[in-house]
Amino acid sequence: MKRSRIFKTVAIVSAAALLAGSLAACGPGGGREEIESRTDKYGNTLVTIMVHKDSSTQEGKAYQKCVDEFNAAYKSENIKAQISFVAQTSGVDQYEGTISTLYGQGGGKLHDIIAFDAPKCAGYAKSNMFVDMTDLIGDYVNEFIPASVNKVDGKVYGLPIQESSAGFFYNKKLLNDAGVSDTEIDNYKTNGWTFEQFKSVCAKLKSKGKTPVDMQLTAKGETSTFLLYPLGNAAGGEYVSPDGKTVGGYLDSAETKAGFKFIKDCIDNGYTGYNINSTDFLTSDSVGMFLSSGWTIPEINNQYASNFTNGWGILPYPHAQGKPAVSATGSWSFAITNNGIKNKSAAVKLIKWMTSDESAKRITDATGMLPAKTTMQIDYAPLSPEGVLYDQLVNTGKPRPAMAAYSDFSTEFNLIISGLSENSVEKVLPDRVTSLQTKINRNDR
Amino acid sequence: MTTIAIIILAAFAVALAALIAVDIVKAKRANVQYHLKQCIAGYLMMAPAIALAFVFVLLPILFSLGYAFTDYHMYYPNDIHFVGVSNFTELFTEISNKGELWFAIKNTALFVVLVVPLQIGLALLLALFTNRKKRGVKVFKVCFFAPVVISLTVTSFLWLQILAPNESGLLNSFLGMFGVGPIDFLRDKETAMLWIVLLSAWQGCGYQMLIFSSGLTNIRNDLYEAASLDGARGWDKFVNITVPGLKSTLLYIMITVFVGACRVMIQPMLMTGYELHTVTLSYYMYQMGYGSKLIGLSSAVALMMTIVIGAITLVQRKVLK
Repeated sequence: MKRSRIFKTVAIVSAAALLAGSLAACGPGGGREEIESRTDKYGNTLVTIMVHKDSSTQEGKAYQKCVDEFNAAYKSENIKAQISFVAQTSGVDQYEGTISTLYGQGGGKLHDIIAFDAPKCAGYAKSNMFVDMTDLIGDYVNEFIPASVNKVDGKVYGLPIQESSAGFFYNKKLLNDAGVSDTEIDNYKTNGWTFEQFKSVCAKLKSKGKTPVDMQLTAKGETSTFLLYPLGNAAGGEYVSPDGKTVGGYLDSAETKAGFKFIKDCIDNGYTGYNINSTDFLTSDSVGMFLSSGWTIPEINNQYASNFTNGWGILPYPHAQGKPAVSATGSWSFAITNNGIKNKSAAVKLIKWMTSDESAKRITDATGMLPAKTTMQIDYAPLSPEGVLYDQLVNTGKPRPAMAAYSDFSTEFNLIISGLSENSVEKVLPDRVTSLQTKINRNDR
Repeated sequence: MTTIAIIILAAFAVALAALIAVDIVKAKRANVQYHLKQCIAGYLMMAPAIALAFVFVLLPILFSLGYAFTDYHMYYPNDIHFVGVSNFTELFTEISNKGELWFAIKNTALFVVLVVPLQIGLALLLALFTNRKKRGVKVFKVCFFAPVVISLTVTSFLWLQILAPNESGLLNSFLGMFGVGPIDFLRDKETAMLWIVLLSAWQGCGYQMLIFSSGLTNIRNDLYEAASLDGARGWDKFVNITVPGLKSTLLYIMITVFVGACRVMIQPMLMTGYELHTVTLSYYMYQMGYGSKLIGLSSAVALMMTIVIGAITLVQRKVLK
């Protein structure tokens, strides 16, 4: 047999394999296994949970402690919880890949409860990966800050582990030196402030030779979206339609444009920029304000307190004149998965335990983040940094758009912010509207 | 998924068995003395490599080929449908509308056109420099090779510090000494890709330098001596002896650097993030798969890339042979 014939044979067989593979790929997926419940060799009902942190971190230890306490409390009912730590060492994408693979296998391979980042909820819920918990948890949902509960089409799919708001951290000395009095600052904290008032403070700081504000325009990824999206909403705009499927008329509406124009004005006037060193606010007396999340509070307290001789604080998000204030919400949450286990009673018990007041306190103590529960005893001083953030969460918190193609929204939002460095809002938005709509259509199933 | 893998495995096993059978028949017809035990031992020794190649090379390629014709979405792993060539239609529409894929192709082409000659040229220069028999040359060789050993992530962060758009950046603080204000090198549409090219060439050329060095040692010294006796100067010797002597090495390096350049992703990902002026084909593919969760569409991009890179590589081989 000639060599060419051998190659021909191999090619034909490979092509057949490819065809078979392709055809098989088009099938229903090989039957997801469904079982009633999982038990261990001692007859205990097993319930599993997966978190996104390493077991050696403070947060990981807090989760472990909560699970240990659950096991002690439910020993008499023969329910046993097992926790898996899938740290996001390879990035959030790898974590999501793991979830998808396990979900595809069914039969309880995917954990009964998983931790997920709040804005991803709609995608998971619409793909049926998450269980609608509305009836399973009943009134328990009322224990949470309403804006923090992960809802899609009015149904509850996730309960927050903790919360994370953001605000404008300020250097008190720089603001006072620029002529912004403590009374004025307190007034902004109490009654909120408009875009114009914000720019007026920036102008004063600039006149003193300081960089008025670091808006973290180059933070990239979800950080940038999380910090900046409230400004479009605070101008009265929305980014997508309520069903998350239409962009035109929302992302490019006059109100949303006004939000982007506020950012653009700050850039053009030299109040903020893309070349500010992200640690300048913390380490030097050169930046007056810094847009960041609650995670900066422990950072300042533990490492940089001595750099703020006259102290520091947090100012809320500004808003357009006549429009209600809006602030950032949405942190990691827990959801019950459609993992092929039919009986969800043990999972419901565990998710309630993991989000109970005691567990929430343990976890937020470990992370320095804010609790997402209204039932917890909160004793933040009203105008303290934590007090301002918590007040925002309860009164002005608005989640990021609930849409299946949220990752695409975040990508396009970053491209808009990046595009503002050279172009006007009017020039940047049309391409991004078209691009996001295309991506939403691709995701629509 | 498991079922598909088993089907492909079975097809692969059948193909392999057919090849072995053909081998045996061939040996018998040619009246070559045939030892079954030795033959089996040979195949057994090959088995681990074949198994690894199957699991980590062949299977992913076949899956990717299959997925390119489906609507596979990461959140819907059990709901995959055959969609024909609609993924490819979608991609061509995006290119014609000058969407992100258009920028990805443009940036990748620019990167390839610049980095291939630059990296190969640098590598050849360094190889010629380090190939001289002088004291201390080995130290330079180690220095030039060091960036290859360091991970791309680390070198990218290193360059981020050098190119930081404020006074904390090494280059900007240097320019500041001459009264030049801070420049945002990586945000500038004109220069960002050039910096990524420079970083990549600097990081990668050490490896090609080593290959060129071994190629240089294979060129007989008497050729240079004869040329010197004939009055040839350095440039003449380089053009008439060194370059022809390195032809096969050069072909190998050109193909590997070209293929590597087509796959560039880490550098733009770490240095600028997902920006239209630096996004590359691999980065776009990654974003499509992991960001948008559209594995089917992402696989279609991969298939297109494979075909284009393969075709160009074949042309390269034909032309340079």
